[in-house]
Amino acid sequence: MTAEAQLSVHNEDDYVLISFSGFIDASVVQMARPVLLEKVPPTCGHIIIDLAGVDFLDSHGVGLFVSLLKRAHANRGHLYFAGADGQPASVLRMVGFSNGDLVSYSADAKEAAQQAAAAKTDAEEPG
Amino acid sequence: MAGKKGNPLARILRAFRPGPAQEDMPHAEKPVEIGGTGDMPDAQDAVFLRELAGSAYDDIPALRRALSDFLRGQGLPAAYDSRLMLTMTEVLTNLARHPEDKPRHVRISLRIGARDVALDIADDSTPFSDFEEKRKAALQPHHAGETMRESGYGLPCILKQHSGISYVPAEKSADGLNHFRVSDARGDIAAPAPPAPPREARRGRVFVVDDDPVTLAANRKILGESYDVTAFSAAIDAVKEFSRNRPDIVISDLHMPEMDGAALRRALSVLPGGDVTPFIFLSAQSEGAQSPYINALGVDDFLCKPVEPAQLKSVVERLIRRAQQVRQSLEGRFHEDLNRYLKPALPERYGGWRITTLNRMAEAGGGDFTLHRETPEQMTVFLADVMGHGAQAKFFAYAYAGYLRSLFRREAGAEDPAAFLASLSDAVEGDAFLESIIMTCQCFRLSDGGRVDIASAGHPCPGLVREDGGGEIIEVAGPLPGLVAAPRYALKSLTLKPGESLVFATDGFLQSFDDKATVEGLFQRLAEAEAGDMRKPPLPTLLWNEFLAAQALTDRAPDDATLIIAEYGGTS
Repeated sequence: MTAEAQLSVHNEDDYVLISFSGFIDASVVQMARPVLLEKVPPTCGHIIIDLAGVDFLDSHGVGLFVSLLKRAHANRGHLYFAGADGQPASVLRMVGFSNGDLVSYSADAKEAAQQAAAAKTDAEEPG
Repeated sequence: MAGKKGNPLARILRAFRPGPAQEDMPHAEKPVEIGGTGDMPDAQDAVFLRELAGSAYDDIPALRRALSDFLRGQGLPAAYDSRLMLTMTEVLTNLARHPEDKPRHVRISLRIGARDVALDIADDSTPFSDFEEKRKAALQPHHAGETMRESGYGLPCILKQHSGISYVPAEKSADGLNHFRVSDARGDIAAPAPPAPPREARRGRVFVVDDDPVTLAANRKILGESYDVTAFSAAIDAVKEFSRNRPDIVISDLHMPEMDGAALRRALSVLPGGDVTPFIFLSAQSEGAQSPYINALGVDDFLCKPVEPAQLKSVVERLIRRAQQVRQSLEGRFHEDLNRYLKPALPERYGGWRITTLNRMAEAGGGDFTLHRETPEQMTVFLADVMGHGAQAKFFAYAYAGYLRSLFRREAGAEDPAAFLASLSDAVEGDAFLESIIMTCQCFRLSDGGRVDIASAGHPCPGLVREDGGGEIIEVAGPLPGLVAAPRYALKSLTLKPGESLVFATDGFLQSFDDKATVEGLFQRLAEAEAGDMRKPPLPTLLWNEFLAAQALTDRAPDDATLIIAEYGGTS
């Protein structure tokens, strides 16, 4: 997207992994929205947002995450923040993204992927 | 240096401090000028200044880099550097997107002084017409995961990050520019937090039960990499250990001498927590998987020996995680229901009184709650704080509130705060359940003519704030309900003048600032903060803003917090 801010989307069987790097502010969100609209399937349930490479997040980034949370929630899924640390983690806490029913924090994308896979298995099991 | 002139926080405090009157207070600091050059830097202050013409302010990442370069080496905590960069980003983004007439001139001025740090962003665009309204709205709790709002997080973030915030539109500033200004006393800028000690997540606890020592050892080895495994060759030993050291999952053979797997399952089901602890059968008898008898026992899975290590680990991890999710979900709903019931709510007006109630219900705190009773002559308010944390405390608060609601409505003398606390204490003394709960409470009665009568049972003293910003602590004390037999509660009576306010707060509010859980401690902190707010916001906004700012800086687990401000406006 820019030399300082990158975005990648990987669709897996159990989840969609969205990896950011650099910073996430209004300028990045403006570019990210159409990319995500195109690459994140509308039916995807579990979404992992990898923030391990992000050193700055503003309120527009928060707004983007809420839109992804809505998408996950609408499909009975869950939003995972992976690798959030420092300023981004502080902002997420400040706006009330707490570990719970809708959002989870994981140390890294691998751990989040395991959680998403386990959650999907649970949801698919009869009874 | 943030001056004291016009600073409502400092003025509030002055009356709480012994010493000379405001006019006699030494002014070591220079008064702040609004607009113009902003507050004048001292020679030793570090200053970051950018005058931006045209749309140069729109390259926010470049400005953030410049600010970051400047801050490097200034000795501020890195977390505070991030706060300044976020605030600058939010303000500039707002300027770039929202005003009808976009700014043609923006000035960013950051001054790092010996005693405070102030960031001023001035612009010549259309000013905010409703900044105070936006600020009030931003003070309401925002939980992104609950409200699902996709915007509106900018101002709440700024409010939570800084102790002093002001907005001066162009028509009121000396230089004809709008000024958005934030400031923090150096004492409020937290030092870098020491790195948290590595915290090992609690390893799951697994009980493995099998009379075959080879299988037992193998499963112990497979699961021991990730879990604390306790192995039992006799099922009865697992039953005995269950209550002392409850596991997260039980894996049991089906056929064993003496007590078999089915008997184990039944025995555990009647123990506390046993019915909801995941249970797996691991058996060489694969037909058991289809047995209606086995299914009726309420087991979570049936694995056939020999089981692949990867499969065993996967099933155990999935079941433990699922059980945790279910437990968290149930606890969350439980808290949500109780919080809805306990949420303090008082009328906004009574006669000549204006009452503001601000509250933050913690997910896992004790329980603050209010009750009130109105007659044409007076309104009596009961404010309580049940001590403790977690679901148990919340449930106690719920039970206590229900009991008190009934008592408060029925008690003939409930209008008399002291008499009501005495009768409450008598009732508590004879009730083993209520005696086991620690609760502080305050009861106050508002009447016409500004009269207030207050009684307290172990609750923090209220504060009186005068119209000129001065104030005092209202000393009123009494024993906790049920602590002594037949207690007598003192009734403190005072008459407020129009424009004066009484501030009542619970420990959860006061302790956010420090461990000195008094209103006096709060006001002392406010004075030391030198918040530098140039305009006088309403007192509730001022205090709640401070609370939110303090919350953003603390790692303390959130507790319930309640603030009630009763302002007397004169004869209604």
